[in-house]
This record gives sequence, C-alpha cells and structure tokens, in this order.
Amino acid sequence: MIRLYVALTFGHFRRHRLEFLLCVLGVALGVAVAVAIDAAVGACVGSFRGAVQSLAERSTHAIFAVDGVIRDQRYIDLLNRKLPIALAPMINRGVLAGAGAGDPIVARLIGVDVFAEKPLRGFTQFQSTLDDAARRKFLTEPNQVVIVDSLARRLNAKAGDILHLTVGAHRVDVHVCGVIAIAGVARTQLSDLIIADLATAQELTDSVGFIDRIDTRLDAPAQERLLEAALPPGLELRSTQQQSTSLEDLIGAYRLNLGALSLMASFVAVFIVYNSMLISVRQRAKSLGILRCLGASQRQLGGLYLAEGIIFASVGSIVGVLAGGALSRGLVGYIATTINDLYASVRPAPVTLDRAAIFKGVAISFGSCLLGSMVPLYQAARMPPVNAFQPTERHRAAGPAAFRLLGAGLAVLAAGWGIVLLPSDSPKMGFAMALLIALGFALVCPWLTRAACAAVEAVARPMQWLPARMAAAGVGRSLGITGVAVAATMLAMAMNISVRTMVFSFRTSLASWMEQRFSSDIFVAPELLVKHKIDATLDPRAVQWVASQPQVKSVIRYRMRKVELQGRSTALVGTNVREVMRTLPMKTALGSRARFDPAGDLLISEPLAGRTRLRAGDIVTLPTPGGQRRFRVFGVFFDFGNERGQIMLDGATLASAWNDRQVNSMHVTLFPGLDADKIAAQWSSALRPDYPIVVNSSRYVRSDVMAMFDRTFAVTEVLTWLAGGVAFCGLAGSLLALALARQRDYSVLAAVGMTGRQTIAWVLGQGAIIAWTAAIVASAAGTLLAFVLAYVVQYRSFGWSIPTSVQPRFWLQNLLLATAAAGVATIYPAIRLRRAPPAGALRHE
Amino acid sequence: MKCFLCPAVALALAWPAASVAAPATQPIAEAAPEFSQAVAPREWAFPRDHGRHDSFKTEWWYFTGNLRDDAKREFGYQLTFFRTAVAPVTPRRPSPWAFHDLYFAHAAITDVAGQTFVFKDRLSRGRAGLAESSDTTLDVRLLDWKAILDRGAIRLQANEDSFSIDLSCAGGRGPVLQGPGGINAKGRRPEQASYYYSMTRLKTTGTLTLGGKQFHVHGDTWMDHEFSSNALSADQTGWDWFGLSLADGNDLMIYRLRNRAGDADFLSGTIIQPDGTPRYLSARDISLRPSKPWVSPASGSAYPQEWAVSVRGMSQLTVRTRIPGQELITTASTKVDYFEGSADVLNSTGSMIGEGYLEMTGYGRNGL
Repeated sequence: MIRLYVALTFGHFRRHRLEFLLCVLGVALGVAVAVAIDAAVGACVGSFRGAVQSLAERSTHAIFAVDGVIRDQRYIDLLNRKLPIALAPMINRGVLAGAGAGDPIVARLIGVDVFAEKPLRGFTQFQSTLDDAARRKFLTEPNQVVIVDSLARRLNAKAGDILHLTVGAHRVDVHVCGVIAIAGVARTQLSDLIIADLATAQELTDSVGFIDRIDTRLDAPAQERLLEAALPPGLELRSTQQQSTSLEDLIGAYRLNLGALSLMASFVAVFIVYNSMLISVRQRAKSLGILRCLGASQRQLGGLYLAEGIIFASVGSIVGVLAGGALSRGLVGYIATTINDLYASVRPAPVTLDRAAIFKGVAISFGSCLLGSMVPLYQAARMPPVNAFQPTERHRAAGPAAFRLLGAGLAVLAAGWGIVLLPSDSPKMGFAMALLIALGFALVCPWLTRAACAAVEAVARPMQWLPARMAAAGVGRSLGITGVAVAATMLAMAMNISVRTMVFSFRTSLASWMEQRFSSDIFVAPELLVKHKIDATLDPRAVQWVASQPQVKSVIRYRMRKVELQGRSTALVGTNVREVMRTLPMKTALGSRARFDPAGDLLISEPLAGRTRLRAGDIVTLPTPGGQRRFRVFGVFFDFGNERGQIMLDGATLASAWNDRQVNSMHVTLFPGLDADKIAAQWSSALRPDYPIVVNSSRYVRSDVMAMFDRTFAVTEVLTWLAGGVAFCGLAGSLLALALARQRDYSVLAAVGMTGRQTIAWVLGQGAIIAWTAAIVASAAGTLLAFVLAYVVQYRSFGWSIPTSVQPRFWLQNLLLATAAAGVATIYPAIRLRRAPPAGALRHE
Repeated sequence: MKCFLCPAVALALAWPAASVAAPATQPIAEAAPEFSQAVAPREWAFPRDHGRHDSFKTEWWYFTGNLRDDAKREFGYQLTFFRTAVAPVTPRRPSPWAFHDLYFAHAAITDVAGQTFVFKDRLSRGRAGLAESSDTTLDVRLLDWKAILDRGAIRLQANEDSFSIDLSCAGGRGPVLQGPGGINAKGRRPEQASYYYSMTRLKTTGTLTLGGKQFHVHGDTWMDHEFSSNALSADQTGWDWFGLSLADGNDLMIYRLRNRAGDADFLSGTIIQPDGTPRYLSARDISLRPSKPWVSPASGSAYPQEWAVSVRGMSQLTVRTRIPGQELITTASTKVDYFEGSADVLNSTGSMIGEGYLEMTGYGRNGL
C-alpha cells in the first residue's frame, strides 16, 4: 500500500511539475524571508551582545548612573563601604581611530584601573607582555594606550606609532605603547579595542572626575542584594545579560516590524499550499475514488495528503533555509546601516544560520504547509467512491461555502477591529489586529469573486462577448480554487498597499516635521554623533567661533543628556525652548494664555507622553545634582527623532541645575539672502582641520535624513515585493490548475471551432478576473491595514502618530501590476491548452 | 623588613619588578636609574621623614605589637602600609586618577588565648580618597585604614567586618637609625641598601575587636619605616626578621637573607640599648638556628616555630612563636604567603625574658 501511495504521490508531482515547483517556491520564499531577517538582525545584535559579554569577561554586573556618568566619589564611597565584592571603574566610549593617511575606523576606547581589574578581567592584565618602559608609560604618562593586534593590523600600526583619535569633541594623538593579543572568542569580539589607564581615558574623553560604569562580579543573589542596598539613588545595577540585550531592547520595535512583515509572506504561503493541494485533490478525484473502491480507508487517503503536505514542507524548508542564508548575507548590510543610522554603532558579525534560525524556518514551512493542507486533507479523506465513475470532474456548489466564508470573514474582521478596544499597548496586539483584518478580507474573497464573476457576466452578456462570459463562468464555477487564488493575491497586494501607504504617509509627516524642526539654515554637530551615533559634544571654542561669525543672525544650542524619569533613563534636551517653540510642531499645550516659564516648565515628546501617560499641566520631578526638582509639563510636541521619548527644557535651567554647559549641536539662522550651503562649506573648511565636527546646511540635513529614512524602509518594501512574489506563484499555479481542469471543455470547444485567439482571451479573462478582483479588494484591505499600521502598530511600537491618507495611486499601481502578473501567469496555461490534442480529452466524453 | 615584599608584589602584578626577574649573574636588580639610592648618610628630619619619599621606589610603614587586656589576655597585632612607585617623578595631570604609586596594606590580630589569627590585605592605586600618604609627616591611608601622627601620638586604625584595630601609640624610643646614617645594608654591593629607622617600645593603648568582642588593651608597639630603590638580588629567595624587646631594656633587630640553597646570604642587625643608642651587628656577631617547622595547611609552607639566637655579647636566646598559624596569604594584594607572628623570647633556662615579632618569608611556593 505504501508503495502505491509513493507511486501515486510522486507520479502526481511528476505530471504536475510546474504546479509543484510554484507551490514549493511560494513556501520557500516565505521561509527564506523570515530566516534571512532573523539571521541578518541576529548578526547585528549578536556582534553587539558578544562584544558586551567579552568586555565584561568575568564580571557579571555593572553599575551605571541613570543620568549617564558616575562621579568618581561615588565609586570611592562604594569602596569605603568595604563590601566583600570586587569593584572596578571603567570608561567606555566609541571613538574614531586612524593611523597615517588611512581612513579612520570606529573603535572602542576603554579606560581601566588595572589594579582593580584582576578579579574581573583577564585581558586587561597584559602587563607582563609590556617591557618596563612601556608599563611605566602606560601608567604614568598622558595619551598612552595599548591596542589589540587586530586593530593594529587594520590600522597598520605598531608599538611606538601615533594614532589619531576622534574622541568626543576633540581630535587627539595618542601613543601606542603596546600591542596585545586577546585570546579566545573575545579576540574577534574585541577586535577594535584601545585600552588606556583610567586617568588617561578621563583626560582623553574630557570627563575628568567621572567614570562611565563600575564593573563587579556577583556570584550569589545575596551579594546582589547587598550591593543594591549599598547603591545611592541615581545608580543602578544591571547584569551583563541586560547590557548585552540592550541593543535588542532598543531595536525591538524595528525588529518586530520586520519580523511581522516577513511572517506575512508565510501567511500568503499558507493560502498557496491550500490552493495547490486543493487543486491536487480535484485533479485526482478519480484516482482517490478508485482507491476508496479498492478498500482504502478515509484515514489512509487523509494520510496521503498529509504526506504530500510534509513533502511540500520538507522541500520548502530545505530550499527556504538555504535561500534565507544567501538572502541574509545581502540583507545584513541594509539592516546594519539602519541600526547604525538610527540606534547605535554596530559592526555585524559574519552571518551564520544558527539552530534557532533553521528551526524557525522549518517550523514556518511545516506550519504553513500543514495549515494549508488541513482542508484539502479533509476533503480527500471524505472523497466518495462514486468519483471513480464520474466521467468528468464535478464541482460541488461553491455558493453556500462562499456565503459561509463571507460570514466568517466578517466575524473575523469584527474580532480584529475589537482588538483595539483591549487594554493593551503592545505592538504585538497591533499586528494581531492587522493579521485578523487580513484574514477577514481573505475569507470574504470567494464571495466577492463570485460577485465579480456575476458582474462580468452581466456586462458581457448584452455584448455577446463569449470569452469574457466563459472566463467568468469558469472562475465562478471553481471558486474553491479561484477564491483562494484571489485571497492569496489580495493578501500580497494589500500588504504592499498598506506598507507603501504607511511609509509614504510617514515620509510625508517626517518631511513636514523636519521642515519645522530644522527651519534654521545651518546645522553644526560633532562628527561622531552625526555619522556614528556615538555620544559626543562640541568643543566650546568651535561653538564660540560659529556664534561669532558675522553672517549669523541667531543660534539655538542643544544639549542632550540623560535623566531618570519614572525609574527609566530618559533623554533630556536643553535648549532655548521659547525660541524653538515658534516652529516646534505641538500636539498639545497649556492654554493660549499660558506662557512657557523657562525655570519651571518643560516639554515632553509624544513618544514619552505615550509611555509615561504624562499630559500638559502635570508635574514631574527630576533628580538633579542639587536634589529633586519639580517641573510643570507645558506641552507635548510631535517628535520623530527619538522613539524612546525626550524631555525638552530651557538650556540655562539645564546648565545651572545639572552644572552642564556642554553643547551637542547648534541650529544657526543666517541673515536673509545668504547661501547656507556656501557658508556651511566655508565654515566646514575653517573648522574641520581643528575640530571633528560636521557643518551642513539644514537643507542638506533634511535630505540626508530623508535618505536615511528611505534606506530604513528599503528593506520593508523589498519584503512587500517578496510577498508579491509568493502571491504570483499562487496566481500562476491557480491559473494552470484551472487550465488543466478545463482541458476537456477546451477540447470540445476546439472541436466545434474555437480559435487560438479566443482560447487565449478565455484564459487571460480568467486571470484578469482573479487579478482585478484581488486588486480591488486589496485596495480596500490595504488602506485599512495602512491605518492599522500607522495608528496602532507604529504608535504602539514607536510612540509617534502618523497622519495617514488614502493613496489611490498605489491602488492603481497594484491593479496594473496584477494585470501584468495575470498576463504573465496565463501564458503557459494558454500555450499548454493550445498544444494539447483535443482527441485525447474528447475520448472520455 | 617588609621592603622585600615590594618586589614580590611587583612581580605578582607584573608591574615594574625587574629586580626579582634579573638574571643570577647580575647580583642586584636593575633599579630604575632615576630613583634615588640609599648610598650616602642622610640628613634626617622628623616629622618630615615619617612621611612619603617620592624619589624612592619602595617604602613601607610597619607597626607590630604585643598587647594585653586588664585580664592579662595576650594579643599580637600588625598593621603595615606599603608604597611602590614606577617613576620618581610623574607628570602633573588633570585626572585625579593619574598614577604615582601603588599602595598595599596588611592587618592582622593574634589572639594567643583563643589560639586564633585573623588578617586582611588590601591594594589600591594612590589616589585621594583611596590610598595616599603625606610627604611632610606620618599620615598614610588606604581607604579607612590609617596610620597618622597626631599631636605626638600615632593613631592606628583598621576596621574590618571580622576584626578591628584602634590604637594610640606614644612615647617610646627613637627614631633610632638602623645603620650608620640610617643606611641599612641588604647585600654586599653598596647600592643594595635602604634607609631604615625604628621607633620601639611605643606605649600603646586602645581597642582590638575580635569576633564582635571589644578588648581594651595596652602594651608596646614596634614601628619601622624604610624606603629604598633596590630589592633582592636574584639569588636571594627569602628572609627572616626579628624585632625583639628584652626585659633587660635592650631591643634587638636581626635580619637574615637566604639564598636558593636556604643558607644565609646576608645577616645583620642592631641592638638598641636602653639609652636609645644603637650598636650595629654584622654577620660575624649573629648566629641563627631554626627548628620545629610548622607546615601551613593553606600554603604548604614550612615555617620554623623556634629559633636559637646567639648574639655576640648577649646570652643565648630562644625565640618561640606564641601560636602557629600566624600566616598571611595575601591574595588581594601582594600574592605572597608569609609568617608574621607574635613571639616569646626565652633564656637558656626557659624563662621568658622578652617578646617581639618574627617574620619569615620564602618558605613555600608563594614565598616571593
């Protein structure tokens, strides 16, 4: 019996190679996209996680200041508590390092007290590899560093050479007093390391009196409790695990968005498997009937289809995982660029497919195939023996089923909409809502397809347009196949429309916001911050130089630091708020009669308001070096700059309350009539030799940000087209199946004189009805999904609301694309029908 | 005599410590040439010379004493601060972490009746608030451990969870120079020497806390202060040091440097007479014979617990440790295992004729 099954299954696949390939391709594409995204994001976060863990080495936790830096005295105070716990101070900064004339590269500068390090880190105990003179220099002389050998190779530097570093606001030359080799896994993960004595690092980073963190090793929960109890307010203990996943926390929403879009492709694949197997059941109705007559049980026939589903899944897994691995290598660069643009400086590790990624790919493949094969499997098992004696394929009346599906679809749509009422802020629930809405639309597709066929028939009948009427009748009679093809195509197109509509709306909103936020003429900021997302400030002399230029009408300075708000580290921006508020797009504010009080008011961004539930008029308490200080929330401003939210308060208030007069960026307004690009270029030439800063016209900054935006969403759009590719496989497979199912009808018609052109028009008509129905439904579904993405998913993921508008041009584009796809997909079935000899089919009539 | 720990410390940390690692053909280490050397008699001035001497590579302040409470319960204690530098002059720099020197400290209490010994060691780079010392008077600190000269009295403090020392020392003898002009030879080459003075029989009162119980104690303290820029030669692998206060009013300091074969490589000492004048001893004047080794279960080192000491012009002495196990295993600082213990001094009939402290190093794997 098993041999018979094998013969039946593989015989069927052999006869229907193209359908098999299209179905497998659909499944594999869905798997590949999910695997590729996981692997590419994994390479980025994996390198970050590995670097954090290697840097921590034996230390298990580190103490951080909620507001960014720890005063030296806090560390000394902790040591004087004489806890039985090793503590080691560290400065840890991103820098640019260059040697000779080569391009500088991003590197990591750490400053350590080697005498406190021994219990925690082995790689900082490099003393024995240096000679006496080098050790003495490292400890006692300024600007002396040790670098790891891999960095030395990349920079072509050796002991005794000078490195040019860009650190914070300055460029500084340092002397390499030693090159060390790090052993083990850390060798690759700390391949960019520059080690300095703590004093040297404080001086290089302009942070004398401050350290970035205190590393420690806690072997027991009791030690953790002891240390936590000893920590003064403003310091927090974080495990290495927490630190290593901080990038994952940071990019969580971005990753979720990508992951959800990639799963959409697999969702489409479910329909394709369903469709393909349903077609298979129809095509083999007679064989299945004969098997039932010969004594095969329902369970055995169900098993046959289960085996076929497993074959689809297995082949889909293998091809999908392999393709995903290849795709991820191309994708990793784009994703790393986005993470670098938006979040933090990362250098992705080589992409590898780990067991989890492979398992996920296999799970998606089997999940979509088994889900898709459930109904066909049920139908095959229920196949009556009488089918063996039916001369032609009989279609069950699809009308009642389509009507039932319509009811189910409407119910699912209602359930999807109901999610918005649930008391959850999770973006995952937003995606669940989108998924239910997509499913709801998919379920109503058969009914809408039947309606479309009826409409075509109604139009074509008075015109006596036979191919159109035949096409409508063909599609309408095979709703089991065509309805699913419409659903799959609709899903892919709806995804495309929704994502593109959301992205377009987001882009428009961002452009408008940028126009208002960067309404000045020239933007001045540190190179590290602008190009590498590394925290840095402007040299006060550069700030003074810019402010004193004769072309300058006004300058707005920005200072950004961290502050603890509701127990979480939050960005605090100090600037001339009254001036900024002239152009700052506000969401809400105190009444028009209220005036912003620089000493007691602050603004919060929309994402922060969403996270903290703070509203205009509320009072917030912020910790300052001088104690707790109360501020009134004057208003909430729209902000696409920081998805974790920020507080904006008066620059002078920040400077006095936090004793911080540094400047991160300057927005300069010139006197009217001056060419900002030209002046920016002049200033850049004047300042760049001395200061690592970027001077650009605001126009350039705006275009640069928009380019960054486009890069970010390039991957998203690629995903929607890949889902489209999956849908095309489904569409082509359906049309081929229809053509094969209609071969006998065609033979009869050909025998009575139907021409080749009429045949093509007939098949093309079927494709057009499917594609256009899908495109029309997708326009509605996609627009609705765009609103869900913008107002639910994006808001819950990033905290910003994006005004979204209906974009009919995307509907039209999809309609045209669907028409073209239908055209391409009908070529092969039409040729196959034309080439098949009518006699063979007529013999059975 | 703790100066010899400093190169051991440096070796353990691998910071400049060429002395110990120098080849055997080179009798003494390559001292950093820019450091000052103890080669000429010094113009001593106190309290300035109680303070730090930046131009020398290593320096230590060393306090040991035998104390008893009103119930005659006997205790020994040790509190020692070490300083080692990598350069005599370091650039002035903005950061308070700028490295000048490294500090270590060891503290210990011996409870003779309770047969217990507790100790703790610390290490820190020199930095205000962490570890520092004055260059004008005695004021050396490592976190909250300190030795301070305050209004004529030396205040010693070391607080730990398991024990604490809080003592005040005043009066006594000295400063007494441990060699002509304060130069104390450590080998046959003239550069192999340190500047070294002692203050003995410092009247000490205060509190020792042990196992949560406070003991109000009194007794005598022996203070050594030594600074130099040279250390052991490559074939000097250990030493024995005695600081004894005898009932006849004499104080006796003896040290012996041992070579790889365990023989005396250099032997010297000083008798501080009751009027405070020193009589310097050479190798010819001293004979030491160790016996009754105690093997440390922690380190495996075998430390003699009894020494027959013969000094020309003095009657035969027996120095016997009060309890075994007065061993410091200094994993947090110097990485050296050594014995630093309270000892009785007996005459030939077995009668007790004095007390003091005995230090033995280089008897095991981590001896240096």
